[in-house]
Amino acid sequence: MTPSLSRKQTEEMLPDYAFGRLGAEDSLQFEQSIAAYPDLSQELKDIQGVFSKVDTMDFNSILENRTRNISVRVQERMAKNSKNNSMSRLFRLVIPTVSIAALAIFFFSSEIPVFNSNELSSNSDGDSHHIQVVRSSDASSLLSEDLNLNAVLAEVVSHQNNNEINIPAQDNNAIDDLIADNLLPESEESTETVSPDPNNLWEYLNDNEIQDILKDLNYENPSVL
Amino acid sequence: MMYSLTYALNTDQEIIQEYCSGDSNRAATLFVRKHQKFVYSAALRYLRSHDDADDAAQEVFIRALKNLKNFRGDSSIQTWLYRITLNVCTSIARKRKFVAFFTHDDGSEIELESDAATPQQQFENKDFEKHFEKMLRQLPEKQRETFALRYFDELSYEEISKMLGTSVGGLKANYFQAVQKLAKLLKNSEFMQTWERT
Repeated sequence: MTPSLSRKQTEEMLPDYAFGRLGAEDSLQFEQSIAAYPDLSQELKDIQGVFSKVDTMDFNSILENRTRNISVRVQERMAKNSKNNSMSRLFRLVIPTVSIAALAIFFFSSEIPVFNSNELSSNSDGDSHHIQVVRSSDASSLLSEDLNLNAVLAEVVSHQNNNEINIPAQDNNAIDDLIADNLLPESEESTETVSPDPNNLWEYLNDNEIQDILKDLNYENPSVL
Repeated sequence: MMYSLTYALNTDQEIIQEYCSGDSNRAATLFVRKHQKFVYSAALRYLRSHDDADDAAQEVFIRALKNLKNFRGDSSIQTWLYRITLNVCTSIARKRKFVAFFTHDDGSEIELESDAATPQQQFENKDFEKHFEKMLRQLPEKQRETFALRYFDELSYEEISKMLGTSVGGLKANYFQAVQKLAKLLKNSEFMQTWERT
């Protein structure tokens, strides 16, 4: 009688048959085939004999004992991790961001250009206005020089506006000098010339000058008059 | 209450749904309880230390629960968990080797069985599990994993094939060889002789 399963197929089914995990149809087919392989039949007996002892061991309950609190410990670790994550987020994101922002503010505030007010006024040639960028280190010394002067000027201007001048007499001259030097327009020293309007030249001439012009015109061309 | 809940949410899909939309703590507990033995035993086979296996199992479930909402169901939960377990165990084993290098340890696995104890004492102390683990370690890795996943975890060959990346035919051959070798080892062990005497 030819077995329905090859030796290889019978071998592959042997463990499942030995442990009772084959379906009814497969079991029947296996039982019919294994009779053709006596060595496999002996193997099956040995395996069943040994593993019947193994099956008495309750591996499931051993594992159950060993893994008893895993779910609790997992939940605890997850809760702990979420706390650590919020802290690590603080360290990873917030603190570096704040640090970078602070550095940026410090950097830009130290590099803000300071304009020298003297350079803003037009120069004597009347060419153009230009702005001088002063480094912060230089600016601090310049500012400290002008600090007292500016404070006094601010004081004077505020008192003038409020009509509450209460300045000691001995300081009046000094303050007047300061105002003249710094606030009043430089009318006398100004090199700018006001060019006359060509349509109203007569307004800029006095009587004698007009008479002289008329005389000159009369000499050159008597018919005009 | 928990008993009834365990039966109310008996499929992985229901647990995932509950975890994503409902009481995540309860669903997480059910999820871990359902798969803890599978994950722990796989980690133990790989790491050969109960403490490391315990740590690994916790780490596996933390990773799994973090990504459970993204689980698409392309494979079974057990296949997915098995892959995570292998990754975690590989990482732990690497750390252990690193520590062993700097502590001048030989890096060998923790001995689970005391050689001083006689088989009778081992049996009385319920140490057969340790003895069996030692025998399992004598098998090649593929055979050992195939045996454990089929014999203890009762997974189908198709699922094991996805986990181990081996054909079903190859797995069946591995399983037969593993069972054959274990039977011989057990038959010749002092344990079996003690058993037969008792």
